[in-house]
Amino acid sequence: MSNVVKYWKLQRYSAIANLILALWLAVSVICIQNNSFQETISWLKSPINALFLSMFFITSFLHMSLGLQVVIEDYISNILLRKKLIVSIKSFSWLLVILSILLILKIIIFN
Amino acid sequence: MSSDRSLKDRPLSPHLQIYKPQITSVLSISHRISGIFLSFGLLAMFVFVFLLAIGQDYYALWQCFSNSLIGEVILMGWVLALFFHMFNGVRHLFWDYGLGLSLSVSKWSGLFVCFATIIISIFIGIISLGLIL
Repeated sequence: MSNVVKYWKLQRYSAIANLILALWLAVSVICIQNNSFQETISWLKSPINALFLSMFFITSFLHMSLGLQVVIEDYISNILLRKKLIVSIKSFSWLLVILSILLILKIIIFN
Repeated sequence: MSSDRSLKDRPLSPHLQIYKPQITSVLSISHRISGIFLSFGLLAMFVFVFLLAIGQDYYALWQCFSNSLIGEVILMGWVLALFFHMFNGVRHLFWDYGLGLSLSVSKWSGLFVCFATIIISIFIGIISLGLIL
């Protein structure tokens, strides 16, 4: 399978995953928006919330980097700049996905 | 991406300002703009978890932001962008299966996307202001 087809399919699969996870997030944010620090911590310590939030970060950062890549490919004509921007966004997304999961684990274990 | 040469030969996207705006084209560019705007929302979600993880004093910074007027406007903007991108994204998924591609159906589904986005955003705004539920 060529890279382009792989990206196209990944963008659609992550979109379907986000459909469920972003809806869950929207409902959750509405429920916890007036919570105190301790209440928010105990919300995140529930296994289902921690799992869904981690999955949300994975699929959303994937969907974001694929989406921004298409935008960059469409509007940035300088090939070198284009490649640099795409690599930066991908690295940045990976970094934030790993960091967010570590932060969620930190809250579960140490709070 | 095979080589730089073939990339250079590909055309860039046509410029928006030379076309007459229509619901289909306006929703198409709005999908991109809302997607870019939601990237910042995702970053904010990350900052939220980061502040929550490093302690109560830092989490207060988030509460400062989300309770301020400008914070509420930005958060509401993300709600609006999220549901627009979500509904219009479903429209795109149907198109990928070859469904609803005709001009009349895509106009109607576009209007439905706008309508559904506005209804759900008003609903969430009302809940967030504590007027119901």
